[in-house]
Amino acid sequence: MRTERTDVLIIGTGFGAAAPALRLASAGLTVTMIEKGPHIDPFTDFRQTQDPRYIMRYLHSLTGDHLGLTYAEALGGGSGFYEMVSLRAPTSAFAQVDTSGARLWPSSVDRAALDPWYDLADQMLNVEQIAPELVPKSGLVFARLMKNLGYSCERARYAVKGCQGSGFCVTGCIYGAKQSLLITYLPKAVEAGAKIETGMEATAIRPLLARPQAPSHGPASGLPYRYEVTCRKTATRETRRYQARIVILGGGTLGTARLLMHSREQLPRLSDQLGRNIAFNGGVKTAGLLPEGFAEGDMFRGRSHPGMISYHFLASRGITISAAKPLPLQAVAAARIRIEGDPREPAWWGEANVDLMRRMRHQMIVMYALGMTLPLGRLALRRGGAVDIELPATAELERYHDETQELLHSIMRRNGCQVIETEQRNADGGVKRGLFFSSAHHVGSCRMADTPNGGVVSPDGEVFGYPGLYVSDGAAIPSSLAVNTSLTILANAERIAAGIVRQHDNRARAVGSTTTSVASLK
Amino acid sequence: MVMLGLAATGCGRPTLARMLYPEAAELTGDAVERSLQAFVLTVVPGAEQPGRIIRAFADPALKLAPYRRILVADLDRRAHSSGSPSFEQQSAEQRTGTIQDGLASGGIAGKLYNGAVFLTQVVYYSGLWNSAAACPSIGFNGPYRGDDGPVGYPEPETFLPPALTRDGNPE
Repeated sequence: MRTERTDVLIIGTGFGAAAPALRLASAGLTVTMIEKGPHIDPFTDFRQTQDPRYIMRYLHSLTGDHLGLTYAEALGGGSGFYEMVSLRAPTSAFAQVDTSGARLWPSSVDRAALDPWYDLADQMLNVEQIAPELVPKSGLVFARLMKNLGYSCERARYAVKGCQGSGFCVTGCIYGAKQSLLITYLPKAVEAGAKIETGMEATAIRPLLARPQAPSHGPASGLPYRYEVTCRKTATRETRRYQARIVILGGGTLGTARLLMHSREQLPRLSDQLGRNIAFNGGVKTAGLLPEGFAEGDMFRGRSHPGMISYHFLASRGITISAAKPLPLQAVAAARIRIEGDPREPAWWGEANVDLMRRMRHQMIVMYALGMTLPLGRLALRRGGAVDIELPATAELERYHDETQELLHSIMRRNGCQVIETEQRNADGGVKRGLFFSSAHHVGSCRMADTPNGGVVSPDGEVFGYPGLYVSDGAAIPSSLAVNTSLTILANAERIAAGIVRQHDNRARAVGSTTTSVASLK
Repeated sequence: MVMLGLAATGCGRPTLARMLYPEAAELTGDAVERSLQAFVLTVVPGAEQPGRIIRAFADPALKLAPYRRILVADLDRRAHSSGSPSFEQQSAEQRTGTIQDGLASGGIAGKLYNGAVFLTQVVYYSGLWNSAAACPSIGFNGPYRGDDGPVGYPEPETFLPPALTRDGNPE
């Protein structure tokens, strides 16, 4: 088996991985990134299609009885496929407590602490608030529905430059307008010397007990090789080992937890909080038909996220509300639909369904709420290495879901909309029974905490008990945010990277290195 | 969720299913195609080019392929039991009843019908195998060609309620 050495090994290439790669490579360390998913050239590989054979190459799901999670495995992680919504988490998100009244976030990490890193992330991704003239029709119609009821609404913020409004954000932007990591952080990291290997999966981590001597000078002065990561090429199953002085886990909430769970024997001091505390942003979706004479929406024109978000119920209910513009594949695959009170049978297929689908483009409005639901999801390792996702259907979650859905229906009804009944579909086209949340905003499987009793990593992102091993991705984020999670993951990864560089610089000075290793971060 | 749904359409156990429907092996390719087209036109009345849609039933990536003959055999059995020579020869109303019956039957057959209706809707409305035309009946034109009308409305400010924030970020 081939063994390679690198100062820093970063597992993953998404929002949690890209910032450390850039900052540590810029600090003069040798950086290697490994990515399980395939390489993507953002200017040639993306397609405007709903062909599942294309989509399934990059996007995957993990589904349990009450929670279904969608995640990306590709160069750039989910950044190639997300809706570009880039919002800071509200102050109240950082103040959330668990059922015993304990704060979910470490005491030193809150909105004020993250704001400078949000600034940096905004700058790197060219995040801007959408101009009124670029808000898609469906977003304007949503805004008017809120306005009619005296509710506030904001123009949202996006990581995009030169949007064409094609409506295919979620299959990858073929115009290079989306400011994904593929055209922002990763090229800069490579320019700074980082190497990226795609199609390479990390399977286990172990500490190196007999550590090769640390160099006395140079960017890595004072740092021995501390960890060995076993990997395999996904295509050929060829295995490889990397020995690294610093290992940063950025493979996503599921990938990072799964890797640590597989490595538990080699890392016996891992917190027993590993794989628990998964938050999922409590998404509740509803649909309706706009009343006759109301301005029309347009489900297929304009960016995928239609521009507007309401914080009107953030203080009172801990939720934000947005409109959504699913492509036909997303809409049909997500749910069976029928107009409330439509007596025709069959309702979800045949004539009644055809009538409803003909009205989808211009008359349908889809709303969804994201909320600060408690981090109750957990991963269970099965024999054979796969993981299951579990979420208890608590009375509190049931009540949250029902009350939120009722609010969304009420907004529609008071505007004269006809509510569309939805039954979420399961994997074989049948109907999911009981409470079910789907999310691409899952975080927290290795959450930050002040002590190992509360979480897996310290507020600096370092795994408790394992110096030099870090978690910098969504796995470290301790709570639901009620907004899209990408910007918070990125800002926190910038913060963690800065801490590593700072610590490294102090060490270099302590051993008398004459090499300046710290790059200016801002 | 979308991808998972498509990947997992079908119910497993193709060998067992073939044992339960020995007549499936006797069906000609033409008969299977005609029945599946009739199925598609019942699930989506008025669907354009049903011949394209039924390609999904034979696509190994979508996992219904091992069951398409079983589905046709089951449709015909249910048609026979109501006095029709075959599903294909039933009226539109009768076909609707046959499919409803299959959906209500539970077990493997119920899953098969659920999967087949699901697949038909997904393939038709998303324009799979016809990406250039996509799905004109719902105004979905497929890949963006730059000729799909304006993104928003003139005077968008008239739609917007007061904002709580100065830059779109929550406080």
